[in-house]
Amino acid sequence: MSLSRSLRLTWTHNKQFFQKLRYDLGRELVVLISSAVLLGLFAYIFRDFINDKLKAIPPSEQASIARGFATFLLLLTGPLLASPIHRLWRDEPSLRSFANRSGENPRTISGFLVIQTFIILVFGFGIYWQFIGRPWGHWDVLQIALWQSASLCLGIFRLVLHKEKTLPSFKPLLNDQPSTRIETLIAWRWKQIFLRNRIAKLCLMLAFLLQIFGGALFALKAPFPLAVLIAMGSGILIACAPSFQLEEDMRAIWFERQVGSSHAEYVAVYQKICQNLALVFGLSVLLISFATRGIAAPTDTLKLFAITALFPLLLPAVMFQIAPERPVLQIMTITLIGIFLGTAIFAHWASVALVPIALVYAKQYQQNNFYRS
Amino acid sequence: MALFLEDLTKGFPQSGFKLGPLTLTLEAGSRLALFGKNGAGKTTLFQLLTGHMTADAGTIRIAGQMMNVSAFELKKKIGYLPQHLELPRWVSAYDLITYALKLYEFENLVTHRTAILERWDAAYYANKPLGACSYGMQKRVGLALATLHSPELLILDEPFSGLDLFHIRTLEDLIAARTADQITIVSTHVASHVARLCDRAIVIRDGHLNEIEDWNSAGFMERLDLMEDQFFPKPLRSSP
Repeated sequence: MSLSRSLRLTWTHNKQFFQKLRYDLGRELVVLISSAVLLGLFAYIFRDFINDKLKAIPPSEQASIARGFATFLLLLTGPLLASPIHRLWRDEPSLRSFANRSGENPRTISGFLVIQTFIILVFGFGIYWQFIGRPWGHWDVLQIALWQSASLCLGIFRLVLHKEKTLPSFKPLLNDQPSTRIETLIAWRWKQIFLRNRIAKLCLMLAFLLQIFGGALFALKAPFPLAVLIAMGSGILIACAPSFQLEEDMRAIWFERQVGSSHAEYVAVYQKICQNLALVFGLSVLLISFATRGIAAPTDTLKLFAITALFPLLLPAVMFQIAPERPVLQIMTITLIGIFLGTAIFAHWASVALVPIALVYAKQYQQNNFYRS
Repeated sequence: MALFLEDLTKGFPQSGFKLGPLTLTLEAGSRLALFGKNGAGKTTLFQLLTGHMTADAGTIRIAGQMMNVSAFELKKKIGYLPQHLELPRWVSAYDLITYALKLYEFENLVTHRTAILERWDAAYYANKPLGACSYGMQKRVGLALATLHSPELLILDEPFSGLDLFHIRTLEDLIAARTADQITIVSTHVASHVARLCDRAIVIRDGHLNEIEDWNSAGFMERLDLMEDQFFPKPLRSSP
């Protein structure tokens, strides 16, 4: 084994990231600047309002909410980092497989894989501890060791699950009954989201669990801003499902174009799907809220309904703005705009009127991008 | 059914590549073989012909209608197999063919689906996720999607790669059986696949089309030589 060659492979591997960044620089800069502008605007408009609401929550409760949030994100970081590690060790084609076929010493390749895995872990957890763990965690050493180990264990568990993936035999997705073109286009995606696309199914399941958790907190008369945060979280998760389905669609977009799909038709299909998701999960918020607190706080309940439904409704308006094949980018855009509008609704219910204005404007801006994506 | 290209041009400022201006006429019943090095512009030409991309200048007329990205009805008359075939991972061949048949508004789905799966020998993996199928299996599904509606214009980009001998024969039979009012364009790097099937051959070089003049009158072996001459002129060829 040659350590210098392992390090050389590691450098080559990481250089790919910078090459990609250089190639996509224009688009990445647009994303970065747009996000910064939106976040800056958000902070400028809502700073006083959020500070006011925070003051209403006792400091001890604020600390425990922050700690709970930090714990959740730490537990999420391990499984998230498992994905690039799995790609590093298993993807084909990759630098690993290329080096292997070129006759590189297997021990040198193993050295590269170990170094790169270490870099991913240090980089991933480093970002977490720098921006979330240290400011919000406030744990003692034993707790840090416990939560960090739990996160790593979840990551390992996810890697093991990756290995045990089995190949199912599918039952037919569509029936043979006659249906209109638009019905077929909708059913094709709707059924994939609920029956086939694993990550979309997981997102919807987590969204539902989060709603039940929010309902329980609502019943215990937890501070309303916390219920709003949970509604936003579940809204983001609901929007993730069609975003991941869109990524899947974009793999075979040549076929959709071949069967004569237009931009308007394609967006209309996603609009219908997202409306249905917003309605189903919005109604579930209403039901959970009424079940836990009756009609004690109707305005608050309706605000939660609107905030939950807002996020999936945003997808059809932003799906072709930047890169439809990149779900993380879609989710980031939806989250930024959703937090902005959601906070406005939280501040005053009449802000719901902003939503259709934002949707119409965004849809006009992405017109005909289906054939440019 | 005829296809006309007139001064068709498409440029890519980032790479500096420019396709065209291209002028070409294909009459009904034509079977055209298209050869060219990697990066010569074959796929770009196909993207323009299928209305997946907008040309900078020039016109494409297919069956009397102008082709562009908004020609949605005209696109349904075309069958296209891209070189880099990507299919959805979480559906089966059965699902995808049913989806296509429904979008092309076929009646009697069961009969058509069974016939298509049998033709492409896909029945034994019809219910497996496409993401788990081999390249050759996916290629057969791609060919089924491109041909199931008997398109008036069929464009196949590297259709033979990844197919075994039996399925190459299936594809050759399908191309040979295309009717006199349909047009077929096949891009390949292997002349023997198309030497028997195609009545015209064109080489695309640096974004321009060069017809191989004697192709139509030549026999099978002569056609192989003609194609070889385009890429390896005789004085440069090394003797075995």
